[in-house]
Amino acid sequence: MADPALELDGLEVRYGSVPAVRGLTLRLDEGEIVGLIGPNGAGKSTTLHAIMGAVPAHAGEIRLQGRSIRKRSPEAIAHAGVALVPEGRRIFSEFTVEENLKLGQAAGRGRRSGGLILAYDLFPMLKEYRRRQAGFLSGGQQQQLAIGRALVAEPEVLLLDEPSLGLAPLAVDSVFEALRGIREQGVTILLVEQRALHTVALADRTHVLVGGELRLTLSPADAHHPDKIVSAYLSS
Amino acid sequence: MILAALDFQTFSDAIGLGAIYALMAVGIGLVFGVLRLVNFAYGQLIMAGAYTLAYTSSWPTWASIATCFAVVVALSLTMDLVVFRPLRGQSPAVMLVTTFAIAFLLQSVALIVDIRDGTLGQVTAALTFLNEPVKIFGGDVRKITLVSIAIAVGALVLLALLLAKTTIGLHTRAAAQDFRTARLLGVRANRVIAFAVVLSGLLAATVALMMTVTLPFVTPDFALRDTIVVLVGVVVGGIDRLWTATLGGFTIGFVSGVLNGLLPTDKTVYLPSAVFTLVIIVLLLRPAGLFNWGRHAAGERV
Repeated sequence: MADPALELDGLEVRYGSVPAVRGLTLRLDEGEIVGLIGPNGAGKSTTLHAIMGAVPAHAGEIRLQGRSIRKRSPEAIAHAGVALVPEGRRIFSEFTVEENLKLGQAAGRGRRSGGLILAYDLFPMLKEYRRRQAGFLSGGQQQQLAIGRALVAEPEVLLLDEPSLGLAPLAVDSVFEALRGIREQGVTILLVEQRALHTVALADRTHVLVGGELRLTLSPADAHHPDKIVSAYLSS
Repeated sequence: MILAALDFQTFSDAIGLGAIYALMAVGIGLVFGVLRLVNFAYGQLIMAGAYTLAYTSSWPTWASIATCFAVVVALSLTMDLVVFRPLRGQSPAVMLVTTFAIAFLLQSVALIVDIRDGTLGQVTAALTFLNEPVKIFGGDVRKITLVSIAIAVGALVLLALLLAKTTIGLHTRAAAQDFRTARLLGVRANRVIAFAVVLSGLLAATVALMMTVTLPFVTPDFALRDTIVVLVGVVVGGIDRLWTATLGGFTIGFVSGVLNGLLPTDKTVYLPSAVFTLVIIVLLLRPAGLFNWGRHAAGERV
């Protein structure tokens, strides 16, 4: 059996003595979308930051295509093939759209320009506005830029931290539509979201994280049973 | 009206001093951008450059200048490797106090190596002709003033191009704006910091060269007072951004030069009081920086 694209094995993260993620085990096979939902403070974003090496993992293992990436620096993990679309987008507002996209090439994987072509394909607006200052884009456009910037790196695994946060419903739909397009390119996606129904419907599997622990795993069919999702949230 | 009272030489000297201070401000601002570290020891890099020029003054001029650049850049990189890197992520207060310690350590080392064997005081003798005046618009202007302005403008244009047009420049600008996100995108922290440190060292060596032409007598406190004034200028201008910091450096140099010209010769002792009174007024009125419009002051580093 092939190594999973990304694997978390008993991941523990603590802030001081406070546990944020407790024994989290996850597996993402190549080309899958896996959702991670749960109430605020469940440890979803912390999990993504631990994968990126931005917060230290206290115990457990993180493997990218079978190789450990735990204890590596964020830039080394980016170079290894993991890209993060951070919460709040964190685009460089004073840079042009093009400069933001060029920063995506910092991971040194986007030299073939396939990533840039995919970004422009998915979000034609980026090409049209490439000379515009990124700070002048709308929230939805900035989110497209943040996703496009991550794609330019041509990652094996794409992590998204609440990409629909603060967006109008139409913009949310276009983000989820774009994720479908990215999956078709064979990119493995770990999606952290608050929009549970959207996520469950899109992802191959969606895990519900509560108090830093996996509480439940949902399939796309469960999107028709919101009560199941609600009860998982309420049990926290 | 005030400017009309100035003679042309004072005015040009003030611009010349502003140009040198602007280069120092860029050197300090570059490192602050990527490390959020106010390097008080920047003056000691210039001092080390000046001593290098002094000790190599019997060499061919080009060799002496090349050695000066090599020593200052090496010292700058060593400072980063030995002190700044282990302290990265510490509070700004810890880092600032550490740079104080480095400054005084280097000054003490200079006291030890300064053996007064007669080789000092003859820094780059080949360049002393730059102190001669030339006539411009009927006024006397020293050649070094013109050279300082030309070098400062050239260095700033080159730096601006480097930051705007190259990949490492883009990465450095990104790191200065949001280091955490830049690293998550794959920007290599050590590389951009080394880039900023090397540029900062090159600027310190350039300043050492220009200052030693006018002040050939090198002492362990060489450039110390200038560094303090420039640090103040950088904060007054707005340390948050490179261009505001640079303007701050230029402005405090220019104002010092102008006030120096305006004060009667027997009253120049009041120059620092006059300059720093202005600084306090500016900071009270514009705490985020004189040139920092529509933004809050630095300090936050996510």
